Amino acid sequence: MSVVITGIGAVTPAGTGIDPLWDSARAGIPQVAAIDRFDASGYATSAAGQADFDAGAELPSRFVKRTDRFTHLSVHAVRQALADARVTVGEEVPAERTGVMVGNILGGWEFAERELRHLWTEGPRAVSPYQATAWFPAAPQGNICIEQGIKGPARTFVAERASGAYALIGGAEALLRDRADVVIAGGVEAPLSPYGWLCMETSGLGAKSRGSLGPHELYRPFDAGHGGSVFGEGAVFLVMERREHAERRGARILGELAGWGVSTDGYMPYYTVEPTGQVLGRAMRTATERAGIRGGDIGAVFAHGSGVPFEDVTEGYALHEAFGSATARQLPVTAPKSGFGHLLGAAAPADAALALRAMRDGVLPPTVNLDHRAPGIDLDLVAGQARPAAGCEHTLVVSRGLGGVNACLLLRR
Amino acid sequence: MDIRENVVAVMRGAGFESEELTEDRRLAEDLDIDSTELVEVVVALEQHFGVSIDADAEGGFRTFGDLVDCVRRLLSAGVTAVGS
Repeated sequence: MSVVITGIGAVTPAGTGIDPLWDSARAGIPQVAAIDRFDASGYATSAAGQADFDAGAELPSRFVKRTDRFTHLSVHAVRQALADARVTVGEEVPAERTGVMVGNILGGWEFAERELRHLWTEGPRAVSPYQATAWFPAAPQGNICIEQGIKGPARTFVAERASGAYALIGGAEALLRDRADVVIAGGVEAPLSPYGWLCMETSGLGAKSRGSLGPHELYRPFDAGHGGSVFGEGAVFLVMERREHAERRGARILGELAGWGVSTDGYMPYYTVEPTGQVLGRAMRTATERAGIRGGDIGAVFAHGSGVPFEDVTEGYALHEAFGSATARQLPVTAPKSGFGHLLGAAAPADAALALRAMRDGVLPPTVNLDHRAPGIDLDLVAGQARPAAGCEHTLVVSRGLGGVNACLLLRR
Repeated sequence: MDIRENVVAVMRGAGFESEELTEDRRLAEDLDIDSTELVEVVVALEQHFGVSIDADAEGGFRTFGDLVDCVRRLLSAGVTAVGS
């Protein structure tokens, strides 16, 4: 029994839909820019991947008013994903047999900040009663279910930057356990509010602005000048089904989620990661073995590529741990997210969507801003421009987060 | 002051269209107002008209006309709470 992907929806800094995201990534076009959503001049990082999405133009005004931007991005991306899969809940699939899995980290701070300001300046009666339901990380999940009339299993995964990968795994497991016939799984993040951005800054994971680099040059995975991530907002959702269900309804199959592996570092200090890469390597190996393949069968690795020096180096160690150094050195490794920003809860779903396109088109998008390899990175990095990969049948997507949360996905063409 | 037009203006601020606000439109069934949105509407009316509406009485609102009648009654009587 296998799990396949039959639809993709995306709202990202590259635009709306998977096509602009793929085109931008393949060409290595930087989408990161100076923040104009709010005054970020006092922040250490004043660059981000911002989505040009006008909720008021796409969604009913009363819905927009009572929900946060992360719900807006999610609901719109899910609409696209279902349309792409040619699924209408209640028609091609019963509402009770449709599920939703969402990865998110921060919650909806744009809404919450506005209402907290009302609380402190005008008192409790000035706070929107929707504060209670707008901010928390499960809000997109609930609103997606309401909007689409979904009545099956629904869950939200909060596992730091691995949240979106956990959501895809949760979707696959729900399908394999026959809890649903269709699952919409993905992730979302909308960190571009003054407080949300401050949280990202105090995490210590963000790249600090430097006078010598433009905003679009700050995010530098595996590069000698790496100094952390530049984050972005977005939502990416995949429609997943058991293969026989997809084939029975004549769906177009975009690829298969053939394996996955999770592990937790359990390492102190918890804000960093286990230094040898052994624990992350175990998640990589588990994902590969579950798919019934060997490390040498992997055609590409979509690395987590946070640009945090210690994480970049240990990600390389993990690939060597998982597959042996001789194999690890031969795997093409890329981190195209440096072009559009680390989308946090949506990062792994974005990588999975790009990996499916890369295998279909036989070309690997480059890691943007990788000019001079950092010391200690012994990998075959895809840099500069896209690389042909005609025979790429399997892609490993690596995702990890604070506290040593590791989640790896193995996608098959 | 045209109280009804002012109630309409307040509800337009909450995202409703003037055309859908007729006296017999039911709040839940026709206007899709849930209990949370009703709280929002009632607080907006309180702030706009400078009145106080007893939260316990809000469950008695069934139609848009009930909201207009409530505000009209409070303003004309000069009382500050419905049901008190």
